[in-house]
Amino acid sequence: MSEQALIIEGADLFDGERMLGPHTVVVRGGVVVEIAPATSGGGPAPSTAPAVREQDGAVVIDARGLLLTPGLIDLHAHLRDPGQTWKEDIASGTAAAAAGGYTTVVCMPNTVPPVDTPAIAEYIVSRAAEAGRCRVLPAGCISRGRSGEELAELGGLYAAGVRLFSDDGSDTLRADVLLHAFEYLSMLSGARALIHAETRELAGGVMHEGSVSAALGQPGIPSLSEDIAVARAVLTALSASQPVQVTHVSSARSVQLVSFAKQLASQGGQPGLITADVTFNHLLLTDEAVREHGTLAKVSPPLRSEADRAALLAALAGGVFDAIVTDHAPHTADEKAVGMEAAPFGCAGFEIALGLLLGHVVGTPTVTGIIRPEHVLRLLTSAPADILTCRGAFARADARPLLGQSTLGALDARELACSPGRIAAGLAADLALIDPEAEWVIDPAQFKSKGRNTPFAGWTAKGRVLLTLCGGRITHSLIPGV
Amino acid sequence: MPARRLLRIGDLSPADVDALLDAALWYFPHIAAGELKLTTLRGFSTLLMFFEPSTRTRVSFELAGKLLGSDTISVTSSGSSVEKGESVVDTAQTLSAMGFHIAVVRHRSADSVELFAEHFAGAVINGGAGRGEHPTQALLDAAVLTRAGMLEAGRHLAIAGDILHSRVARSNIALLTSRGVKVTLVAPPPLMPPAWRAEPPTGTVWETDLDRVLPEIDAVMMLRMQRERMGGGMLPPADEYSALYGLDARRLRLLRPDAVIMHPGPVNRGVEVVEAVFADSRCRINEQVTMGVALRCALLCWACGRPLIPEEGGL
Repeated sequence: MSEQALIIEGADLFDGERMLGPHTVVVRGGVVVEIAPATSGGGPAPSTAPAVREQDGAVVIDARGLLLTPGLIDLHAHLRDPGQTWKEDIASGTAAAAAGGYTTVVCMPNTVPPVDTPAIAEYIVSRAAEAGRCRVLPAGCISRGRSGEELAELGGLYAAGVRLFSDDGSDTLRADVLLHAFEYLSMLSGARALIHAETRELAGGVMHEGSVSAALGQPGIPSLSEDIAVARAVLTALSASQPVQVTHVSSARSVQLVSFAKQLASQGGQPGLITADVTFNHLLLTDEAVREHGTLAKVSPPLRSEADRAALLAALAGGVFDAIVTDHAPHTADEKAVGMEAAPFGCAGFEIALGLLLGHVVGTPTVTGIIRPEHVLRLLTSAPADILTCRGAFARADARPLLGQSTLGALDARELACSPGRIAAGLAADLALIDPEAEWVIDPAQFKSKGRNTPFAGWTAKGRVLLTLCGGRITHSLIPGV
Repeated sequence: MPARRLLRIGDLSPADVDALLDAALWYFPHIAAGELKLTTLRGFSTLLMFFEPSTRTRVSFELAGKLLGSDTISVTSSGSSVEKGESVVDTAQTLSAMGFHIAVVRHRSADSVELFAEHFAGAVINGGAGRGEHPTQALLDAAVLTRAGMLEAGRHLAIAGDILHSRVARSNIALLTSRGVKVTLVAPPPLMPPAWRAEPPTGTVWETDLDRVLPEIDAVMMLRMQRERMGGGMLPPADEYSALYGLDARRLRLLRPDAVIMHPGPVNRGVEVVEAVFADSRCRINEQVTMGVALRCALLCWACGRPLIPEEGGL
């Protein structure tokens, strides 16, 4: 832990909302203490590593031409710990996250055992405090054992710091269990359900049901599997007045359903009730990737058609999505080397998401406009922070919480330790310093993650994370001397 | 006189309720002392037809009937032709043909006691109908509250727990609100009918936080939480229910010193109430059981059109 003062001089500042031009940011005691417009203008991006010097006991980085953003926040990732630490563990997963610029990761509860009791959530929190390189917020199960049959200890998990509840990996099986879970969660102020929208009876395949699956002879998963489940989730959310995030939206029809549900929520006086996220995988790839990459392109929900991908990009530009996630899902090479039917779903993403988004998504023209860098960055920083902390557009309109402090005190409710998603004086120094013009070729062998499973090997990414700070502590650095 | 029916609280006039409560309070000390033996109902036969299990209601009606001199016969589903699939209607007609004067009927379906009554010539008392009503429980609870000086307009009572499945709650809401008692229903959203979350019954309000309610009320009625509903598809496991909705030592301190604690039974000790509740001087759970016999003595007399209290006023 470096508590040394750090001065980042002249970087172009993205404060979580806007691009503000060159600024100097001073970090001391883990907090941003000063932000000032830089006296000298930003130069071109340095061709070599930025210059570092000592000044009055502080390390000063000449960051002219670099981009300084809030530490990134990932609302959907798999750390595989406890129980599957050959795929990933909290140390390796958070090191990979830090290398990708992330300072807060919400890890999904489909571990072994799953996060359906406070004890497992507390294990993850304490293990992350001990060995982690970013803030780790465990998501909790909606149902016990993710069976979809019985409710998990929702209040106990909340007391252990859980704010997102999900049966991710699959959907909550029974509609009545989903409804009762949402109704119950509505009492727990700030709790949001994260829904992996999938209809089990339609999700038996291995890739998107379309022309590619037909040509390859692979069993398909139709968009209908997701679309029915999105409709079920958002209608249940509206019925129970429970905030819900539809995660990793993949189909054009689901985008329409999410948009419609958001309208209904706003009309009902509950803006922010329905949120949605998309993975960088689904923004960049289609089912064609399965032809070339086979099991490395097997993800859940599946990569879909070009028309679906175009709808996701348009939705991104049009403001339908509230976050971009990695769905970082590490597996070993052996596990993926077994053919499409037997291979597990998912690909690793922490270390490549930002570079692929800046290199291949920013600047894309869509029917709703060009995708701008600040839009993508906002969905990686302030927007997910606001979702987690129920602020800004996601504040609840409740006159008072359904359960007061006295009762929640019986559950020992804790403050949420999430990155601020913004850069401002007084906020925790969760920062990423990025060389925005650096182009680099993705080589999974260089990953800090144990999972090297990605269909993006050989792609050229743009924007390199040079330095990541979490609470002022350097969790990743490519800058010699820092 | 047409056969009397008590299917729901609304079947009784305010004067009926007053008379029944007065009579219950007259019987109460005699039941408590175990010194009652009357002949009010000699010549009247009472059928206890319980399609669903019961200890308190069935035994207290049987005891009340016997203390008043009625011939009392108890029938349960198990061991009767109900097991062979005989319908409620046929069962009612068969037993009606035997000439019983009164039937006390319990059934798991909210409408089946009424169905039974349509095919039974004698008086019918609802001994608990599904999630519908349990009027005799509400009457005995009202008698306990009367004894505590709490059944008056302006008093504030909370009913806490599984409102959704509770016939006790429905009958109590009807009776208490008719007396101007303010009723707060305390339940997590899954245990409250959706329509009542939007608009609670007239005279009641809905709260989810028991801690906020306890300091403000004169009496609390804890409802039985069925174990199979916790840790199932409806609620998290039992220890979480206890933490949020159980009456424990900490919450006993939130209640006023003169408050009244009630529970219709049977109790899940350690779930909705802890052991310490039974030792608390404010607890009236055992008094409810005794009052159950007293109230049902009065009610059997009412059903037969007999004076509710022995005419000489003595034993």
